[in-house]
Amino acid sequence: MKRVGFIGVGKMGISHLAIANALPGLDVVAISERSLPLRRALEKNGSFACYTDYARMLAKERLDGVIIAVPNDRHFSVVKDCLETNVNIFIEKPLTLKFTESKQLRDLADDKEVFGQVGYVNRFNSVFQWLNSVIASGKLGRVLSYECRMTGSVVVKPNASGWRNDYASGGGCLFDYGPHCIDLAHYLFGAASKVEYATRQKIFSSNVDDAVFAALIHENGTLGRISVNWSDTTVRKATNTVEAHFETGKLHANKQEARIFLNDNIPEFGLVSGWNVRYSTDFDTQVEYYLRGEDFTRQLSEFEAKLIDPTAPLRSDLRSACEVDRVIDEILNVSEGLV
Amino acid sequence: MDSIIFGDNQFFGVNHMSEDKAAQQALRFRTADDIYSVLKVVNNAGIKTFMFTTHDRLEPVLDRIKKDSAFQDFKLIPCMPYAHKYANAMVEAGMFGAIEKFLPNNKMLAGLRGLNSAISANPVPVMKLLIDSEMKWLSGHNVEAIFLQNIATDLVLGLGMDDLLGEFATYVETQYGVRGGFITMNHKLLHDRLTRGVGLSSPLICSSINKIGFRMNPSQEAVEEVVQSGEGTTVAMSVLASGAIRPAEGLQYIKELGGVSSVLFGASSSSHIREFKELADDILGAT
Repeated sequence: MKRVGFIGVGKMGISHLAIANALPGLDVVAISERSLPLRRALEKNGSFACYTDYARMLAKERLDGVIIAVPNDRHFSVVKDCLETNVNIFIEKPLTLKFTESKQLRDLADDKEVFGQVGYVNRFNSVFQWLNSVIASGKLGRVLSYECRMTGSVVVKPNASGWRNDYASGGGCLFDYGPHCIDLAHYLFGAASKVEYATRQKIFSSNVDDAVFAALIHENGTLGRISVNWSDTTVRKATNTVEAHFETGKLHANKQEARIFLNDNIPEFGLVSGWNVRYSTDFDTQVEYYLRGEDFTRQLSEFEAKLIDPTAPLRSDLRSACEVDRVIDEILNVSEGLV
Repeated sequence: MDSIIFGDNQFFGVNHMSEDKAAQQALRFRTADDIYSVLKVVNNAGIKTFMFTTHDRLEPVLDRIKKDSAFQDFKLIPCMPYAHKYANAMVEAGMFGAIEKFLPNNKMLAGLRGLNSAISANPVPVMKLLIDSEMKWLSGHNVEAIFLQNIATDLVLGLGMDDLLGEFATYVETQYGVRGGFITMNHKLLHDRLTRGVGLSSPLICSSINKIGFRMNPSQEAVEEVVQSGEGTTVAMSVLASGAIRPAEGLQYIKELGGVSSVLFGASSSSHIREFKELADDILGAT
């Protein structure tokens, strides 16, 4: 079993903790958390060594990997400290709030010969994974254009306080939904090369964007549109949708279903000319332990597998996460302030 | 427990297979009247148990049921907590504020104020108070069992705090005289921990059980084996895997599997409700 520690067990951290603790190849030995009630709850009712200061945990515990779920503005320093002690990391998205810092972490991990996984959970969704392989086969021809959308109801009334309303703390929809949406576009269509146009709009927040639109250009001429909005009260929970036009087909997809129209059959994927539909129930839905959706378990199962076998693949590494942060940086530069 | 239990997902725009379908359902159930009229169809069709999340929107619906003599033999199975309610309150008011919101003017809580860590070190007393507050608006109803929602069951299970699950079942049984059950997406793991570690000899468990193995973790075979063992009471949900399986096929699988006490199902239209009940009586035997 690989020995794992946690830094931060708030909302995301506690769910990762339950999953990691249930995976057979991981032994969660230690936790670092600043909040006293949370730490006490885990100390008294769980079986973890608990720390207030993660530096002490890193110094005292022999760890193969650390799972980090601290506030966005602490990502850079915490990841850096972990990498410097030669420990493999899993970090929630976004990697950092600045492309230059993300690059620094990517290079540091390379120097130290450790790996880093970033919490881009869409890459572990079975519908998106299947689409990734259909698109990568090239059978649909070149991607002409796509639109990736992510909407949800995070900020739904006027807000002038808290970290969500502060860019420096990683607030704003661009830093919350933007990373997921851009990463999904990169996963399916390859990394964009340039942000052509971007606008950041305020709906309820006083200092940050609540909705962002961006037009991306890819090297091969593909045009992508990114659209995120965290003030959408029409959806029960965060929703990702993808639409794309190819030379010989068209697709509409979300986490639960994909519809593909084709000019010709693609027998290797069981697709016929005309409309095809695949549901998440058509794919393998079983996981070792389930908490908030299969995707979250598969994500940490990959971290587990990579700790056990360093040659195992990583679907979401520091390199791909850096590409996302590069695009976010560009969106901030291209858009002219908040409108 | 009845062999057919009506569920509530369709009322709140939950569909595991399609977001579009979920949106359509949300459109259909805007008011308490919309939900009440479906429950009347359910009751008339001879389905006498409703299992639901303790969602605020159901309060006026259940009030009407209480006053309607046609629902005299109708039973309720509440599932708690309604996680969004607490999550939203926690975001707005913090942990303590949230607890206070649901337990206003509670003397014991007033005594504990400022002792955050005392509560988190031993969450059992607060858990009991929260169960009581959820049960308050169900007084006068015929409650058959109380379930812990899967998000809570599975979180506690994953964190390895299994004793809390035992505390839940024991409290529900002693305080309300009904069985305490668990909804889970990890039937096998939960069953093993409850029977071997916690010491519940015959746990009441509700989980996805269906022909295609949808959400049967860690594997269809492992869950089938536990269910067939008959060591415990099983309520099967997602029998149709959100529409991926036809009703007759889904029910036939349950019958052949054996060991399932009740099937939980949901539908929006009167014809689907009646058809499912007839089919279930046919295949599983009349209730």
